Amino acid sequence: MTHDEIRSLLDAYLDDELDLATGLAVGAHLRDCQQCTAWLAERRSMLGQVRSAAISYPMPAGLSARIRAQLRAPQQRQHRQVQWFGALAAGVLAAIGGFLLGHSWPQAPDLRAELVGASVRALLSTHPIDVLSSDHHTVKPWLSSQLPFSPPVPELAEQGDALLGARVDYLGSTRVAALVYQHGHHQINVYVWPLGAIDIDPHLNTQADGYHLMAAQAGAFTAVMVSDLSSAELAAFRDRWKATAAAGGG
Amino acid sequence: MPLGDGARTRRFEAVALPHLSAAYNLARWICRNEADAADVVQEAVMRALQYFDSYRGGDARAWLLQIVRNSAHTWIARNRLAGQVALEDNELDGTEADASVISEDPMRAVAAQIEAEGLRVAIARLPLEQREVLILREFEGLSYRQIADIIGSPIGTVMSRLSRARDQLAVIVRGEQRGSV
Repeated sequence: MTHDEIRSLLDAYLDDELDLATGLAVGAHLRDCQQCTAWLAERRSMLGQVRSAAISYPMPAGLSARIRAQLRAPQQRQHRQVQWFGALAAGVLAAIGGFLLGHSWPQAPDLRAELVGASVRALLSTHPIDVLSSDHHTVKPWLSSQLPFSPPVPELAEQGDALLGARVDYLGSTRVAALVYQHGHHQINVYVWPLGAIDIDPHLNTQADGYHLMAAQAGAFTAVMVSDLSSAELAAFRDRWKATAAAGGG
Repeated sequence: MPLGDGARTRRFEAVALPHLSAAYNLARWICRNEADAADVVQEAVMRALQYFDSYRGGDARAWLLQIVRNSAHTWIARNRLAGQVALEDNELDGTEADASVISEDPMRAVAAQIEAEGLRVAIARLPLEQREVLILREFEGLSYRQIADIIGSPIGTVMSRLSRARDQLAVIVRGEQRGSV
């Protein structure tokens, strides 16, 4: 082996990762080559410094306990900042997932895994809302910049539904807009995507795990509203949302 | 999802929880931020529980670290998508603020601490692909084979990334020694 070849193996040599024959060859070279020997000594010293510098990060207080609690009580997953919103988002995605899985879905068999992943992310995310704003003039451009389409963002504050903000979510491998509204003590997630991007029954009206899911069509978009509101209240919200969206309100 | 199975959960705890510190340390170095690292570890542990049936014995720490690593990469992809994570090397967390102090502060009494901080900043500045390999090797002492499995790349890739990471660190460490003596 040439000097350069040996030189490229020195890291593996000091990590004891070379096979016996190669290791012996490197050892023989080192006896004759001051340059490689000096290099190796400097490398060892630098790594000794790194390993003894105690720069590993200790776990923050409470994390271990939080994880243990979460393992013991998976139904009552807790999280700083997420809490009921996270639970809602997770339930929502699980509900949508469960529903869509039972129906035609144009994409890959990995969907279940993706939905589980999306649920977990939503559950644990510290950013359940990416853009916090009640102003559709803020929310709509933000969504347009994140998505290949520009969804309607109806403002319904005067009718009792405050817009909290929005985020981008995945359903399967399709990126969708998720608008978040507050109605009384309840939140409503409205998932919006271009007509046909995901197949769904346009008259969907069902429930899963305590959440109601209702579809609506507004112009060139499909929307699914998900909330723990009562069926009647969510239907009323859906009609308000649809009417405002159709009237160009957002 | 058989989450309710108490015996299974206890078995999982015995296998996985001894490695929480290693899991957090890896996530912390990848995310470069405490709160996000905690989120990532929490998510990864739940994911590991889900996948526990596919754990076939072997090095439990390497198994958990692989899940943590993948969760951290998912976190990065998701947050970068939403424009919430600064691109690599543009912006670091709190350790960045100390960087300017390091080369100028000559106080011997805090030399060791400064040196440690300097290393921290230097490692945090490495590109992600080199940083994670370095952490797995220097802090976790994993073999090239184990690291290759965790990052899903050939051993040759591990070797070259590790060498490049060490080369960069060596340059920085040398520079600091010159600057502070």
